[in-house]
Amino acid sequence: MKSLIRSRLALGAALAVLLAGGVAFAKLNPGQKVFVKAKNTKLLAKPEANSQVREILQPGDEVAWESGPEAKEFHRIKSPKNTEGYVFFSNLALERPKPEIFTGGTTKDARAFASSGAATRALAEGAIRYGDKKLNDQQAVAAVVTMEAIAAQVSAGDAAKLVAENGLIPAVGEKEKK
Amino acid sequence: MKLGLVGLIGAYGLLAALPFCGQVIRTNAGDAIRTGADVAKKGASFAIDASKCDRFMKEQVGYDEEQALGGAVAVNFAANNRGLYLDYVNASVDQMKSPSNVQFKDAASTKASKYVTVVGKTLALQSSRPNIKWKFGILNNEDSLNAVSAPGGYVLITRKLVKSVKNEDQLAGALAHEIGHVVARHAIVRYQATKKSQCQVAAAAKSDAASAVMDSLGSEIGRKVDPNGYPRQLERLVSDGSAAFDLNQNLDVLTAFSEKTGEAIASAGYDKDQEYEADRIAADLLLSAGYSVDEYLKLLSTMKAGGAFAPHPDPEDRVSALKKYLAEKKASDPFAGPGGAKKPVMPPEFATLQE
Repeated sequence: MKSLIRSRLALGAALAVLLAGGVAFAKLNPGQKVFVKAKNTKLLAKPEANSQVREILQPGDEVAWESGPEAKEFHRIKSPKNTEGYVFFSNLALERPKPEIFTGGTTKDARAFASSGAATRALAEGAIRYGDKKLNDQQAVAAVVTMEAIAAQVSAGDAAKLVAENGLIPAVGEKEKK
Repeated sequence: MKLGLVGLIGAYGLLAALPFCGQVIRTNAGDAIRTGADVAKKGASFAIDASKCDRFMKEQVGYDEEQALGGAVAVNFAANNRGLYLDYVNASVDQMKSPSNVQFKDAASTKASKYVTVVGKTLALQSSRPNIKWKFGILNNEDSLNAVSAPGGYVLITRKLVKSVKNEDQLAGALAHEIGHVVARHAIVRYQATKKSQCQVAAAAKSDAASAVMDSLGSEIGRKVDPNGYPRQLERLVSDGSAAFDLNQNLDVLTAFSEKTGEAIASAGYDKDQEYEADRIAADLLLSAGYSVDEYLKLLSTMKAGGAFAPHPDPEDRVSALKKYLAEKKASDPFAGPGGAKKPVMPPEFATLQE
């Protein structure tokens, strides 16, 4: 893992020189509000991927940036519950994720949307009728319905497993109901 | 004769120049409105105010409406690309309405689809719309080097493009670009524009000339639209004052709008600014996930103008714009990340698909 991160840092430096022409990195101020962007973000006790998880944060959570990047691309932040700890750089964003909107103009932030049930809804009834009645192509409907079923089986945990196997950035936590 | 999106915009342009735009058209409340000509004959209390058609651009489309539209567009894509690369157990249409009835075989195709879904979700979970239901699939199209997306989180890649990617980073790049279109709601912007133009057509149906346009829309806007059902449903939807369309309950409107949206995406593509924006979002997601943006740039570089992703801007321009963006991002975003160095090996099920 250390060699992987070292190689990433080396590549990062190379990219910065290659693409940015040696420009300075952007600065943040202690206490500045930033936002969690990735699902199931782990707030860790130490700047290490396998450190103790103090809290699980969700997209849209507003946190206070304290310092970073400290060791290995981790930033120290304070959660809305005033828990201090470290999160990986790719869990954070300068802008809050946009809320999802429902018919009638009701908005739901990322946390509310995730628990609304909309995120697990199957292929819309109108789409099924369109394929059946208008296209007369029940096979196309069956294919899309099957694709939806497969998508429902693939969880954030599966994504986390791919990340671990392939040495990608551990941005997304594995805790999610299937 | 088919009237494409360009035709519709043309019709809107014509109507916008007519003096009656903005007038309120009224018919007797409760009367069944069948065509634009009927509207003109009946006069009185059923209001369609063309000046209120702007609401379709101003008010955002809700996720439920987006999902209904996107589902139909996805079915359309599947129907027009020899289906999806999947082995499933046949079920009746009624059974398909309940996801628990869906069964698929433990075949190589299922494993390949799952793999594409896992890679896609790894990216999408870090987007600004992490919680919508993302769906990824492989179109059985071996002729076209392309990937498409539909509102609501549908991302589809052709088998030909699957065969052409050299590593997982490049696959991720193609998926990330399409995720970018969904995140930025590019298809929805087009959908909103079509809603507005169709609202204005309906509102202008007071004149004989406009009535003729309205009458023809039913047969021309979509290949499978009931020429009587479409105008009636459209007028009801634009008259109720809401910007939302209940597409599940208005099949002809769903048919017309989903076919126009799908056709616009697959044939004409998005405009250049939207393509560049999707590239920028793709780069953000790749950096955030730890994939190599360089591999995405390589994938873009291998595409010829007018070939792969045919409707897109010139690949050289895209590569150049993306490099400029990456340089700016490094300077402005403390969470940009270094990008990935490793090129993950693709699993055997996927490698088989590439042979």
